[in-house]
Amino acid sequence: MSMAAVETKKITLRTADNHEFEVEEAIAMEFSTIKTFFDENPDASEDTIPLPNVTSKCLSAIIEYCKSHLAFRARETSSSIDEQVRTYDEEFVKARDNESLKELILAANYLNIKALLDMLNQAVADRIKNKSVEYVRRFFGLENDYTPEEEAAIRAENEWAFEGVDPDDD
Amino acid sequence: MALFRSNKNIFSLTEDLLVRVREKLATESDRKSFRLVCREFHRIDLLTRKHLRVLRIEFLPSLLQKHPQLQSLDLSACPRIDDRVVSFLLTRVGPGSNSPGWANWTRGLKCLVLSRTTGLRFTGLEMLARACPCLKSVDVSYCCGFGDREAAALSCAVGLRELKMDKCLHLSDVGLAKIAVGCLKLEKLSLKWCMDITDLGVDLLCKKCLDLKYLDVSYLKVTNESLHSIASLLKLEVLGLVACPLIDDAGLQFIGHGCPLLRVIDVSRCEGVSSSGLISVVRGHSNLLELNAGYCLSELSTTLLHWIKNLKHLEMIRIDGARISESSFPVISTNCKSLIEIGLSKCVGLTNMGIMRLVSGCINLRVLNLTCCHSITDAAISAIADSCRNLVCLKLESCHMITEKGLCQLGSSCLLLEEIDLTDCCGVNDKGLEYLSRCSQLLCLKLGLCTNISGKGLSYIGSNCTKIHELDLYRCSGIGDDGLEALSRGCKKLAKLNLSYCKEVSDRGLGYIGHLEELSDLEMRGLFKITGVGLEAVAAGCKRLADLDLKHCDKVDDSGYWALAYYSRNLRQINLSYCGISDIALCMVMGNLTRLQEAKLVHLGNVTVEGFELALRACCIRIKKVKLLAPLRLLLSSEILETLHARGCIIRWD
Repeated sequence: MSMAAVETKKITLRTADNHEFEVEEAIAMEFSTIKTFFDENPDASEDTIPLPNVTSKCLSAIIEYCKSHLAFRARETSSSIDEQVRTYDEEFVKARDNESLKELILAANYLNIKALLDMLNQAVADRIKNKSVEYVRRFFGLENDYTPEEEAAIRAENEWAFEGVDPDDD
Repeated sequence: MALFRSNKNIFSLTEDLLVRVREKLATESDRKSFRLVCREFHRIDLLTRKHLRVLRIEFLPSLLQKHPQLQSLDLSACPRIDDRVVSFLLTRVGPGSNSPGWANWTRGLKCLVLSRTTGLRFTGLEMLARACPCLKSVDVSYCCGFGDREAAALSCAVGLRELKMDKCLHLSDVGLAKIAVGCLKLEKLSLKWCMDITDLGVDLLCKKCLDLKYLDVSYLKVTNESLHSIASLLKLEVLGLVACPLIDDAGLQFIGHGCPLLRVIDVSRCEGVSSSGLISVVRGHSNLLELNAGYCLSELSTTLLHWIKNLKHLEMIRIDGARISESSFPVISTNCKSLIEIGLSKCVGLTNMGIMRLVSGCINLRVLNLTCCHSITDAAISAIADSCRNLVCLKLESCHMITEKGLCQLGSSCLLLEEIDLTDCCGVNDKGLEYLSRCSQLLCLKLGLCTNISGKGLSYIGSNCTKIHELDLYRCSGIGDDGLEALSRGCKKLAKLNLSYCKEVSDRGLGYIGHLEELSDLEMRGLFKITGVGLEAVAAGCKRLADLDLKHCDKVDDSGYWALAYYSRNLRQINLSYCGISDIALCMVMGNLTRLQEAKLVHLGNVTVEGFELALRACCIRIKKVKLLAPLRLLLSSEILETLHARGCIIRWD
């Protein structure tokens, strides 16, 4: 990993809407998809990598995220650092609307950034927590495709048939 | 694993992403909402759902068919499980009913909970053991009719790691031997109350199952010889010896020299154990995490204290009932800094000063039990509140001198408090509850016999303690309908409520209770003002009601019981003793409520012998426990008694 202040290697990424981003190698290596690509093609480092599934808005947010997390990791681990990481993650997610959250998930999945993907999935779960079925449908942009009989059967199951108890609970 | 499907909409997530989101849903109500969203989400729920606790037998075949990835299945709450049902589920449930051999749902099954499935026998058990190749954990506790044949059936599950056979009353050394020889990889075994087990059985177990980490032989009549055998278990970490009458200090010496990995030991209520036995154990195991010596020590001697000093990792210690001198506490608090739980219930000689010295060092304390420590006053509570900011559970039953001053301190400092027991603390009043309500994380509050509280105090709890799920108001004579109104508005998560002998409660109050949608356990003995109207309000509103105790509510008329029979589909347990229910209403209740499994039916003045006969026939295939007056034994038909016995139903004759 190059840590030299002056000659840091940069990788060029081109998004779906034809914007080019120059990112430091360290950050690009956080994207496992890109890392794998370079591991297999070590001579391709000068080329521009096309990312047809990622918009520029998403990519810039993701780059910010990876940059900040790299910086956090460079410092010593302590509970105050953990606290700062938590706050950063919360802020990262808070301002985004449901659509951009889903866009980010798809991008993070495509680029294969495990930690970010995990954090975003949790954020989605938190947003649909304690909400009505209708709300969840609107969130995911889905229609109710059950027939009335099917829906009644599922409701009956939910009400009477079972509990999903984790066996570790007493 | 993931199929990248063509998205209709760029923002719709792929299946494996949805699976990950679904896995992050923590509560059952969220998971149930998830599966209602659309067919795709239902399919994802079926893929990710690993644990099922089935409540009704009618749904069992379809649920098993839909969940081929099941890892754990709990049938303890499901009525009518017997060998025939098991046979059907194993042969007919699978992709298409012409699938040969065993059904799919058994393929990945690791954990099977069959506790209280009294209708099951060894044939069914053997079928299950052979059908589930990955079976690691089985719980058949409280199947009181189980014995050696059932143990032999279970020993067919050769990969078994965990087995609970508490209260399998007919299990003897023969059955235990079959398990020991068949399940060599056993790591966890619980045999509480299996009274026919002797030293011979335990010895063979310890020779064969060398991987045992957890062993519970509480209440058994095993002697020091068993402890000699157990001491050879090199991997044992947890040992349960509660109320074993025949073991004593000599036996504990063996343990002291053996079981090098021992972390947790429970010798509470062992009459033969004294300080010297405990000293042997403590001396040999300086890494001990938990020591439970409640009600066996008469005194915490200085020698024992000297050795306890060395337990640097000790997290839990219980010395209920022992005499302790004040000088002991500084020793504990300076040396055992890892202590999280301390049990000093009924300890003689416990003073304020002692408590203050104890908590000054044990700042990580989360659980403190001071039940019946009568000399404790507000000064001790202040000290506790000051030092132990992480306190989660505090038990102060019968600490008569606690007043609102102490509760004020708790309300200011111990904001993580989740459970507090103030039963019989007559000094608790409405002001005290106002202070206590500042602990907004409260989950369980016990105020039994607190006669000085009224609806005003409850209203503070109602407004601030919104997470509360258990409330005990036993004999709180000052509580009336108004208090219940405040409760029903604020405490929407209330699941367990005891209003017994709160004599001022009337139908109006029960109307408010009807708004508590999560209520599952309601005890309301001796409410002389309530009638059928009140019971109907509860039945219609509290859909989750599973346990109901109406003893001595003699003014409730049949309209209430009809409502119960119609609405309370989740009812599992009922006490109707001394109630005025009629023949027909009893038959409706016992017949209609298909989840009802336990009933106490003594002193029903309006029910005739024919009434009992019909009611029992209506529920005989699923009832597991019933309490009846002794004279009925001779008056009921022999057929009904035989049928009940054949199904494994336990009848208690009063």
